[in-house]
Amino acid sequence: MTADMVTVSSVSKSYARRGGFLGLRKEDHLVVRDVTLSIAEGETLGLVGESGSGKSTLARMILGLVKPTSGSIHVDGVEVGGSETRALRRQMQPVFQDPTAALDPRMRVLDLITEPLVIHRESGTKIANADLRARARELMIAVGLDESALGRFPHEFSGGQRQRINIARALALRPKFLVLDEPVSALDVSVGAQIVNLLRTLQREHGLTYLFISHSMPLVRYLSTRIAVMQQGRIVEMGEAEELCSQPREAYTRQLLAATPELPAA
Amino acid sequence: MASLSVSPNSGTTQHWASGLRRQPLAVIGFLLVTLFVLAGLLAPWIAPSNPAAIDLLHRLQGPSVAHWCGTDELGRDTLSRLLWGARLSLAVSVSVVAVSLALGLAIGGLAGYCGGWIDHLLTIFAMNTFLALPGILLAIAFAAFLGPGFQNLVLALAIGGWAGYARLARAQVMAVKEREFIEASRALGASGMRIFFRHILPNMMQPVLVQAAVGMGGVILAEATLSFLGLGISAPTPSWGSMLNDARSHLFDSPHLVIFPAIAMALAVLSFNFLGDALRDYLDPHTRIQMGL
Repeated sequence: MTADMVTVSSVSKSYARRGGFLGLRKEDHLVVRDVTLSIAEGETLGLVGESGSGKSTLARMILGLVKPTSGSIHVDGVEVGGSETRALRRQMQPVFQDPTAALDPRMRVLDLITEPLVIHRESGTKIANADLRARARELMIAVGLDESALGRFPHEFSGGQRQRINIARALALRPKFLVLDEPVSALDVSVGAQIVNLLRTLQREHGLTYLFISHSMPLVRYLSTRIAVMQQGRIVEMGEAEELCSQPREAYTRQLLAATPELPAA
Repeated sequence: MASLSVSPNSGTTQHWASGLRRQPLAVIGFLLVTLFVLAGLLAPWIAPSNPAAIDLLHRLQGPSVAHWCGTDELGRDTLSRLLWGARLSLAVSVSVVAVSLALGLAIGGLAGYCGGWIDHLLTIFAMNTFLALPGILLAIAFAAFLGPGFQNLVLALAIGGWAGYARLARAQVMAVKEREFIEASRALGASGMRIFFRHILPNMMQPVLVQAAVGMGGVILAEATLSFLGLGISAPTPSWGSMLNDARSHLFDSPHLVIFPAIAMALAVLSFNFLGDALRDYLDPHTRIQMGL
């Protein structure tokens, strides 16, 4: 049994929602309810559920972008939201759903993918441009893009290429853990399959730990070691990927399995 | 190369020609603004005579070879005064837009980025108060209060103008702040300062720059208004507004005294508006591709 990379213990998140006459009545809307899970080093935990089930909120809490209402999250032994969060971000990087929206349209690819290096350089030091460029070249090769892409802007690329740029940026600091929030949902199927295969290769090469969020059961099944099924903010079922897919206990899991067509083996 | 080419490096003449065909107003605006700026910068060297030189023997003359735009009631050369007036308009509009823009970006940016009570305080008590009063009225009040002089004129006009930029900056910051790449850079660990200056500012400048270009025209008009009312630059310095004021009593016997400053002013304002439109097209990467710029 390897050590846990991520532990989420009884985390909840609620948003205040105003209702009633003139919005005078205030009620709490629970988006994530008492979620507990852990991700072992080197494994991929797949998180499935329909839209609005709280998957993305959970991901944002793990990334430290949203504060949980209650409960605690640890990544690599460090509490998310604590004083060491900034340093922790070296180990934990996100890849978001919309590859276009996640890239600053006014920055060139070189600046985009080396930004994490610039942000996390030792304070007061400066990284030589040649070093940045060299690392950027490595990253481009790692995600299967041409070096000539470095001088161009995001809008000059296709969706799949943009997601490769996002992945390159996420890998820049050689992190241990990636949060993949629906990384292929915005792409068409064949391009998505290429990205999924790239993610798989990268995981093997770099020993990465993944939290892979998707609403597509076949994709999650293909990529994950274990799967957690989320419904209305709760984890309703969690288990080894093959086992969960072949013998689902929950009706909701069966529903998800039935709802999505099988992908031809990519 | 006989066929038409979209490549920007296919020779300057051809580039300009194709630009003229695609965006005629932009090119006209750009040329007029260039002309205006050159007239303003070079006025001391290209003006045919001293704009303050009085020649009572040749007063109120129509356009002639000696005086292309005629002379005014004191016999001063109108063309020279127009060129020096362009110099004043240029100096005032650049200074006012720079001051208003700096103030507006700082206050609007802070309000939009911080949100919460800082936003409330700045928006309600600073921005809305100034937006509620007509800018020109504020400028007149402050110009009367501060007295004449270049610095006071700039200050008075900036006081009337900064809130518009602040409102735009605040709205832009709030819109850009919610975009996903901002969240992405927060997740990467970027500091607030870095997010504001490296990501938000470059992505919100486009409409602000367009407004600044159009605002240049507005300031030229506002300066002329103040000078027309005698609240601008004091007498010997030529200003288009004060030229129009001087010409009031000669509207029918010497109409050229009204026509030339009015044309100069209209062209200057119009050209900045054209330039603003062109800038919007140019700065937007999507239209850039469509238009092949």
